[in-house]
Amino acid sequence: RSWFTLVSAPLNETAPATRRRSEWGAMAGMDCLIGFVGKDFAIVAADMNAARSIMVYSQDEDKILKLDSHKLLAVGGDAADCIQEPDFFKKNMDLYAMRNGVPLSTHAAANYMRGEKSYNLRRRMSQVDMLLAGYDKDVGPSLYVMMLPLHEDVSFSLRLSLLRAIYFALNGTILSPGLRYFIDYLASMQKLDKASHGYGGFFVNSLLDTHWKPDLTEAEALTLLESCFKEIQKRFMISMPNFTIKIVDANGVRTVPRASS
Amino acid sequence: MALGGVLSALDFSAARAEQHDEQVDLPKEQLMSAPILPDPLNRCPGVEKHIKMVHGTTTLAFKYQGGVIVAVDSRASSGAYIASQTVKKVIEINPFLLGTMAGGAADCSYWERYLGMRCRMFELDQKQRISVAAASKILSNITYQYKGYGLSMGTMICGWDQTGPQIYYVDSDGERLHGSLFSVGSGSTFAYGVLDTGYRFDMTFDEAVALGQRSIFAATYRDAYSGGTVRVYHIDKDGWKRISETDSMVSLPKTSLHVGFIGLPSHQRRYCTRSPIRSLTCTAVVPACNACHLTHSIVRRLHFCTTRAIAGLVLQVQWRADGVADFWWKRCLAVCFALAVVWLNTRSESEYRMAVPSV
Repeated sequence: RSWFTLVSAPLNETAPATRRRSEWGAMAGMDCLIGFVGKDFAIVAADMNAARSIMVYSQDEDKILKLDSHKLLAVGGDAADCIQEPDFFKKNMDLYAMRNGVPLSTHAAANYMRGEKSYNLRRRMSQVDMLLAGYDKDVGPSLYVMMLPLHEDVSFSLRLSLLRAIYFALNGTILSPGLRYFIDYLASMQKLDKASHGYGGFFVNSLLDTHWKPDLTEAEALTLLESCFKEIQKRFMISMPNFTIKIVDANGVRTVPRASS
Repeated sequence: MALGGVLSALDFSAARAEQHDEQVDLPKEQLMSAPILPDPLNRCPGVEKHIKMVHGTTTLAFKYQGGVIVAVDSRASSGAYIASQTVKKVIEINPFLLGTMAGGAADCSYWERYLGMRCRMFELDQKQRISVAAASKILSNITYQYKGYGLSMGTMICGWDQTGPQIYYVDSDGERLHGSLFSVGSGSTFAYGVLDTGYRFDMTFDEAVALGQRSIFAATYRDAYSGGTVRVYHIDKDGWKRISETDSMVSLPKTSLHVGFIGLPSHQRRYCTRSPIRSLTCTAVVPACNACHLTHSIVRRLHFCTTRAIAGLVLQVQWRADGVADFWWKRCLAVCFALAVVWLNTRSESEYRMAVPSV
């Protein structure tokens, strides 16, 4: 665990490690998150649906959280976990900034969050996919994706989980100095130029691969995003009329208003 | 590093961070009685079979220019049995906050009373009334703590605070949503239809009350698990007030639909119009006679028969009810049937409508 996790009450330590099928409120993958990096900014978009099984509760839910002045976190997955987990990370990051006088860099924040998610991985059930977009003065814009697989994807064979436990433990202790870019294949974190989450992501990944290029201007980026939204609205089964778009650049975080409905 | 005195404030090492860890005490929920289990599913296997949760409801709340309207039904059903028609599904947390109840009645009422206590503590600590956002956050933190333990509640915390009218939907999964229009419960989809179509922000008070009432009626009409009385509350800057309590059955539009007609194909209905009373007889008697499951299929075909045929049916029932071994029990059944037929035949039609249970 990160040495500076200073908020002592851990995130709901008494929570059960599994969840009944009926208690999975929102279906995983229903939240569509898209993010990519431009010339000197990083842009993130999310749909605004809050739904559960067949019913849509509201279509103006903001899924992109402002972590600090130059970081954005788009979250998708279980609705409650998507509020509580990023809140916990934000409080810890704020405390670090208050105590040390400097906020965490995007790279440090991504690693901190990945560490916390790893800690929670086999202790409790938590279903949150994240896109972290940030701007640092020295590095420029960057985008990190963090996700956990669905509970049902994780197999429970005893031998395999024993192996995993050993791998996990070794990676945390002896082998970590040697593994520069360690990625636990269960709680993964990756720095990317473009990324998307959810079922909507299936449709936009190819669009991003085709039309993204380094050093996109803001206008080009917004055009690319609009074409992604149109594709989702055309081909994805779930109706997603509204999207939130937020940009982080040297001046900080701002919301981009969408012209179309 | 162990630096003493003033310089220890400059020590940012892990050792000191860990020391400080022990001293920091975030407020824990005062009644944290959830057992610390790795998997609560294993604690009481099969508990759902033994404890019948009382589910099924329709509640709604919406914001409009004059405040917040909260409308609820009052039926509690466990399975196919209607446990109560007079449940209070709006919980008065404080004079400015209302909470609705959907899901487990015990969970909702207990935790909303606890929320009332926490709101009062907030007022004593802070010398100001708690905001709806804060109150709903307290409740959602509690439900998040108990996530996975089997709590069942879907509640709307509604109130008027410094920022105006607010509604928050709080779930037993720890979900908390802010919005201007919500409906929760098994009948919520039916209520949404009427509510979404008739909703405008600039409604008058009368229109808003009527809309809330009509939406719940629509839901009680279609949803088996909603019914009883429809209660409508209004919240404005001076607090909440109960506006009306109306019986959901009485307000349904009167139709020529006799209860006994349900399930009959349309071409057979004209026989029934000649003797609606007798058709009602059949359906009224069968539910009263739980032992005669065998008769159900027979009687449903005899909606359009005369009283003589019903007498014949009674004999058939006795012959077919082999499971009922007692001779005198069979005779008693026959007498019951006959008496019921006679009694119902002497009632007037409007009394039939009241007497027939909601099928």
